[in-house]
This record gives sequence, C-alpha cells and structure tokens, in this order.
Amino acid sequence: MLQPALPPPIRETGFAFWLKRNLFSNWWNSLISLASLVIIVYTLISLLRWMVFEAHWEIVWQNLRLFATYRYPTELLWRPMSCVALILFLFGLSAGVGKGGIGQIVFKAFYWLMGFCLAITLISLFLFPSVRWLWLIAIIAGFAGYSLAKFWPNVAMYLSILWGLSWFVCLFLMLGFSGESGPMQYVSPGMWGGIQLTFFLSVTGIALAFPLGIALALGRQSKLPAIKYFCITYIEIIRGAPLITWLFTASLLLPLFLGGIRPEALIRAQVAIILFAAAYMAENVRGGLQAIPKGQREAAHALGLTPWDSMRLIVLPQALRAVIPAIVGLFIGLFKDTSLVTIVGLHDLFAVVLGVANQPEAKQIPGGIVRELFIVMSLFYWFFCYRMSVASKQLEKELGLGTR
Amino acid sequence: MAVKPSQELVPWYRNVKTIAIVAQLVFVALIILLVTILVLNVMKGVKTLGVNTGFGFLNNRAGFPISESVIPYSEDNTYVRALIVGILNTLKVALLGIVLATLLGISVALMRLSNNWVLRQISTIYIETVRNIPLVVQIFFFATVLFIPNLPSGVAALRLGNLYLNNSSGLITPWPYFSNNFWLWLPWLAIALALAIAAHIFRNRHLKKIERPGNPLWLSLPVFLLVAVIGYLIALAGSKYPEHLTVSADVDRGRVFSFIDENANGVFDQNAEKIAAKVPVLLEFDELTLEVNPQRRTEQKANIRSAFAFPRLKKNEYGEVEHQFVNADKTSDLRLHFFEFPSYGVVYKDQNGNGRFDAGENVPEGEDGYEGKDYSLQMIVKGFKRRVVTDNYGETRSLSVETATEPKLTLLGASPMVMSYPYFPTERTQIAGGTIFTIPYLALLFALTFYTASFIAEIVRGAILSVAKGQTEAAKALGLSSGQTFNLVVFPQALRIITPPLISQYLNLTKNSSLGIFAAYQEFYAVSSIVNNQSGAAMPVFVILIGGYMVISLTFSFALNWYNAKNQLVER
Repeated sequence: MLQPALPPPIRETGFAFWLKRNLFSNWWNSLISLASLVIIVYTLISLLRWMVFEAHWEIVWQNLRLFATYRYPTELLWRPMSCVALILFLFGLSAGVGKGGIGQIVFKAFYWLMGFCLAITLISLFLFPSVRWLWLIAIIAGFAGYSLAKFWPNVAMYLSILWGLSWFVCLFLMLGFSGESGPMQYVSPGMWGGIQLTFFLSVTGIALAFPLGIALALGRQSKLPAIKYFCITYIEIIRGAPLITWLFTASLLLPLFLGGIRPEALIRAQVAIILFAAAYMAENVRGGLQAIPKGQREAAHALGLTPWDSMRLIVLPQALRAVIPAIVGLFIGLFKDTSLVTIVGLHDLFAVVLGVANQPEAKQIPGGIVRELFIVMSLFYWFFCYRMSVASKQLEKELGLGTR
Repeated sequence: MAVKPSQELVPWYRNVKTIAIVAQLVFVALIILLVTILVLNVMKGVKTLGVNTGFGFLNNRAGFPISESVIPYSEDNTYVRALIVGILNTLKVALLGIVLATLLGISVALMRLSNNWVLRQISTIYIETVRNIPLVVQIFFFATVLFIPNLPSGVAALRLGNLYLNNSSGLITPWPYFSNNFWLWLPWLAIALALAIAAHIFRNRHLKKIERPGNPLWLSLPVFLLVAVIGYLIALAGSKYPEHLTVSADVDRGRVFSFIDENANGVFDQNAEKIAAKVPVLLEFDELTLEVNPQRRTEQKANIRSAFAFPRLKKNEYGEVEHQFVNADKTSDLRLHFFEFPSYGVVYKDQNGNGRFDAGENVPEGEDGYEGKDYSLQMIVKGFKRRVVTDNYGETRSLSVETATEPKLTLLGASPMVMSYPYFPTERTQIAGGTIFTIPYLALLFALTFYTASFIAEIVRGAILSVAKGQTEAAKALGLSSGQTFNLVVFPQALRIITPPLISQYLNLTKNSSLGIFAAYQEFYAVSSIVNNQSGAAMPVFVILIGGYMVISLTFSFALNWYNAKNQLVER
C-alpha cells in the first residue's frame, strides 16, 4: 500500500531562515533584536556625524609626532625610524622562513604589522614630509626581509641571534653616543616618549623578565628549602601588590639602595617592570613545568642525562613551548600596563595624550579634544592588543592546548 | 646475601647531600651579602638624601584633605588615620566593583551564548574591545571624556526622585546612618543572624534528606528579615535622645547645630560638651528670603546665559513662593523663565514679544553684570519646612537666608537608624544630606567593573561550554525545562571551573583599584604617595604600602580559596 507523500521539509537554509533563527525566533527575541538594532544604528549615526562634522582632528594630526616619539629631536628621527626598519626587516625574515602552523601565525602577525605601517606611510606621504621617505624605507625593509628569507631559508638558524642583537642595535641607535651635535649625538632617555617608549618598555620588560622568570620558576620547584622559600617569598610579595606601587618604590627607593645615585627615570621604571613581570613569568613557567609528565624526567635519568641536562634538553623546551600563549598574554598585559609609567614622570603614549589634552590650543576648543584623543589612543592600544590576543589564541590551537 | 654499600664510594664533593647543603649555604651567603650591601647603601643614602626612616612620623598631623572618606577625617587627624581612610576607600571601590563585575560578567557571558545574533555580536564586540584597551585609558574615558563634560553641573543636576547626578558632586542618594540608639537594635540583628544561619543549616539538611533541589536562602532570608524588622520596631519604641540634647539654629551661618548641653546654658562649650551627630531636625520658617545673582553661565545645548539657581526646594517644603528683581526699575525689561519651579530657570529679555523664552533671547552681557547693570533675584518663601539630619560634626549647613523671624526647630522622633535625604543649601554647587558617590569614585568603579567583567565573561563562557553536552541532553531527557537545566545541571558544574580563575580576577580588580589616582580618587596608593611627599619617609611608606596590599590580597585570597576548597568535588 502506498503511503501518502510526506510534505517537503521545512527550509533550513537561506537568508530568511537565518533571520528567523537568529533574530526573530520568538516575540521577545524579536523585541530585543529590534530594540538593540535601533540603538546601535542611532549610536553609529551620531558617532559618524560627530566624527565627520564636529570633531577637531586637526589637533590630533598636528601632534602625531609627539604621540610617536615625544621630544625626540626632529632632525634625528631617522634613528628611531631605522629601528622600525630593522624590526620590520627581522619580522619579514621570520615570516619568510616560518613553516607550518606557527609560521602561518607569524606571517599573519607580519601581515597586520605591515598593514599598520603602510597606513602610517600613506598618512605621512601626504601630511608629514619629514618622515615620509623614512617610512617608505621601513616598508621596503620589511618586504626585503621577507623576500630574502624566501631566497635564503638558512637564515632561520641565525634568527634568534639576530633578534637578540637587534635589541642592542636599537638601544644604541636611539641613545647614540657622546656629543652635543652631529648625527649620532647623545639623546637622553628623558627625551624619549610616546609610542616609542611604550614599545621599548614592554619589549625590554618581557625580554629580560624571561630568563629571570625561568630561574624563579626553577627555584620554586627546587628541593633546596633556602632557594625554594626565597623564590616563593619573592614571587608572592611581588604579585601581592600592584605594578603602580612597584613603580613608585623603584622611583623612590632605588636611589636609596644604590647609595644616593639617582638613575634615569627610564631605568628605574624599567627595573620595576622587569622585576614585576618576572614574578608573573615565573608562575606561567611553573604551570608549564608542572604540565610535563614525571615520566619524561625519569626517562632522561634512565638515559644517563644529568639533572641539569634533562632540565635543559628535555623538560624546559617542552614546558616553554606549552606556555608561549601565556607569555603572549603576559606581554599584552605588560603592553597595557606601561601606560602607568606616567606616575614616575615618563612620557609614554598615555602621558603624551594627557599633555596634549591640556595644551592651551586644545583648551580653547569648546569641550576640549579629549574625545578625539581618546579615540586615537584607544585604537592604537586596541589594534596591537587585539592582534596579539588573536595570535595567542591561534598559537594555543596550534600547540594543541585547550583542545584536550 | 646483601652487599653492604661502601661508605667511601662517593667522595664528599660529589655527594648530593653535601652539594645541596653547600649550594644553599652559598645562596644564603650571597643573599646576606646583597642585603648587607643594600643596607649599607641605604644608610649612606639616608645621609646624602636626607630620608626619614622611622615610623614615628605616623602620629604627626596629616595636614592634607581627603576628598571622600568612609570614617570621619579632617586635616587635623594623624597620618595613620589618613592611611586607614585610604585603605577603606580601596575596599569601598573594590568590594562593590567585585559584585558589579560578577553580575555584568555573567550577563555578558549569557548574552554571548544566547541564540539571538544581535546580542551575541554586541557581547563579542564589548569583550574584544574592553579587554584590549588599558584600564588607565578607560578610567580616563569615564572621568574625563564621559562624565565631566556631559553631566550638568551644580543645581542643574539630573534628578530621579531623591537621586541627583551632576559633575561637581557625583551621584547623591538618600542614605541611612546609625544614630545613638543603634545599640538598641544591635542585639536583635545578632539574634536575627543567628536564627537565619540556624534556619539555613536546617533547611540545607532537610533538602538533602528529602533529596529535593532548592535554595535554603528562601527560608533563611525571610527569617532574618522578620526578626530584624520586629527588633527594629521594638528598638524604635525604646529609642530616646540623650539628656540635655540641644539643637540651635545659627541663621547667619545657615547652620543647625546639635550638642549635649550639660551645663544648660544654651551655648556649646567646646571644652566640656560633646557634639551630637545624626540628629534629625524639622526646620520651620514663617517667611524667608533667598537672594541670588544670575550667573554668567554657558550651557552647550540651549546656549543659556544668565541662568539662576536657588536652593532646590521640594513641593512639600514651601507654602507660597514669590519672585522679584532687586533694583527692578533699572531692569524692568527682564523676565523669568523657570525650567524647574521655583529653583532653576533663566533670566531673559523677550525680544520678539511673544511672552515666552526662546533660544537666543539671552540677556546681553556687559562690563558689570548684564548690560552693565547690577541686579539680583529674590525669592520669598512662606511656610517653609525642611527635614535635615546633622552630620558627623553635629551640624548641617541647611540654608543661609534673610529672615525676620527665628526658625522653629523640632526634634524628630529618636530611632535606631536615621534616613538622610539630599537637599540643596544655598551654595549652588554643593548638595548636603544623603551620601555622595563622587565622580572619581564612579569613574573608577565603572572602569574597574567594565574591564574586569570582560575577563569574567570569558571565564564564565568557557566554563559553561566545558560542561559536557551529554549533561544538557540527559537533563532534557529527564524532562527538565531549559531554565532548570541551566540552574540545576549546567551552572553548578560550571561554577567549580569558574571559581579559581574568578578569584584571581577579584584580586586583580582589587589591585587595579590603585589606578584610582588617574581619576583623582584617593585610595590607599594615592594617600600613601601624598604621605610620602609630605613626610619624606620613603622607607616606612614603602613598607606600609606593600604590606597593606599584601594583607588585602592575602585576606581575599584566603577567604575565596576557603570557599573554593569547600565547593570543589571531593576527588577519590
């Protein structure tokens, strides 16, 4: 006996179905959707109208150099710009030699960084004649690095050394050496500022905190009570108080501990940042160490490796690999937290923005220009932190963490 | 036969035990050496830099004001008290911030998991934006970009019932304070708490016995409220003011002052007598005159100049109100328009003769006042009555007025708690009564809440997603509704995963409150840095500052970890 034909299945694809399922599945969902859409559209329209017709972007444009490098002498801008070129070049090399999943992630980071720099290059081509060629050269350096790596993949072996060296080269370029004039005249760290300082503080902080953090993590795992409890005390005290108190401490007490010598504000802040980051780094590394099964160490022992070698060759490489995403997370935190150094009199991006907001020209505009400045500053921080957090998530996936 | 291991096999310098001891000795020696060098340097530095190292300075007069304080504080108090005020301010913002951030975080997580596309997108954008912008920048946003330029100032405050919001004071709300009769109620509160805990435990056991889901709070909370309310009523019946309580009005200074007049001479004797705080008083005038000069004010929206503002009067505070210009002959062409009768409005010139205030009909500004004329505006209020509560210093600045008759003062009935409502005295930018959540406090609270909530939302979302799908399906198969599935199956399991990272977020929030200095909120760090600047005692301030934060962090950490340990699964 023939069964009657079934009705056709309800359409489950297409735009109309998507709308129904995601926006209008029942009456209160429809209400929420419509209300929030109205609010969003209204907000966006008023924001756009303000941005196009009312905002005073000219003061932001005029002060872009302050945001980037603060009081760094204008005729010496080629020096920090060479640092940018060098870093883009090395990034290009790294992106070019990268293979597999992690290579993809490095390439994406490079891609976005180049995009950012390209945007700045375009802006400076039209608005800032003093740096337009420098930015063009930096971009070319990035592409050059990428192409070079494609022709000469062996460069991968030297990359870590090159990155290490680049820090010293950048420091040397930005500081210069003695002399009141000339192309390599000394520029005191007091003149550094803006985005340049934000990057310098956070990169140096994480780089130097890394070995210190590993040492502290190993010390905390040690069986020797003197070393173990020293490390625990250090880590817990540092983590118990906020960064701002350590910056305050460094700026007040470092001169005292050095017997009355007053180092530059930059050095005091940098020391505080490194010591602070090291404690958090130690906790991240400890997480990685604990994740390594005991069998690994026992196997190494059975193979006749000394404890030192088994740590160096077996445990640490695995542990550090596992904590890369956590370290990226720590770097994001540090990058955001460098905005606190204004408390010890340094002029990072946030401090420069506060300064510009209080300029007499800015004060003359009704309502000030705090909104414009806030948007520019937030976009800068957001762009870098967001790209890094995306990279961190991809790394986590790539390293097979979080899927177990 | 077992071979006896030789004692001589390992030379001492390769014996692991010896090496361990030597290594530790070397380490300790290095640490001692480092510390000695530092101490010597500090001693040298103390001489060259002239730094104070003792804790004795703490009992000196602080001499600086703190803009807001939970406990009474004045410049004449000691540094110790200033630091305590700082710690309390830190706790005040951190505790409320923790509660709000948790609520917001959970809501955003649920929004991100909802089946409404718009809500999902909004919450995703919120999380990815807020957590990638430094907290300092967000504090700057709330304080400098959002609140101060966009809120009305002074008496033009936004108003909702008894709530006021403006950019000079902040959010002003009615607030209950303890009075001298509070101790009558205290035992009842203790009994209520004890009974509630007993009921909670009993209900918990009962629920376990009958194997039913349910929240024991539905029994313990009503028990607590019932006993507390009955106790309050009994305490209210027994409340009375101390003997010799005197309230005097000082009309010229606009204040009402309450004190205990032991020698019954009607005047406060500073050496012998005590002030009496938190006394509610009814203030009555037959007729009083208030006078203001319209201010040169520019408000962006309507471009209003020459607005005036009297102390804000509520409808039940006056019988009859009359307005007039002083020097009326010179300014006869001026008119009044009220935005809010009878307190707030604008003085204008009716240039188009329609008898109404239109935008642009401002009074032209001259050299000396408006159009070179000096005039003021007077308000005569008849049958004025106002309920005021004296503050911690036994006084209230209520009105400064001109009046022919002295006011009539009536003590309102004594009670364990006193409710204080906000009102406007004559100084137009200040509000008295109630309690104030200042703009710096609100800016810091909002920034901390939004920033931390974005992290909490991700923690909660991850935890909810990590509960196995089979659990939901099993609950559905048992016939549980989706609400029950979430409340009884998914959330309790997610909570165990949420707790440890949540604890670290709470600690972060507490430590991040030290950024209050960027919103001019004076919490522990800000107060400490002022104390350091004034006393020059860097070493002791450092010890107190780090020690204080350690104590706060460790206390939070112990309390929360205790909760966590209690609620984790017992693993076998």
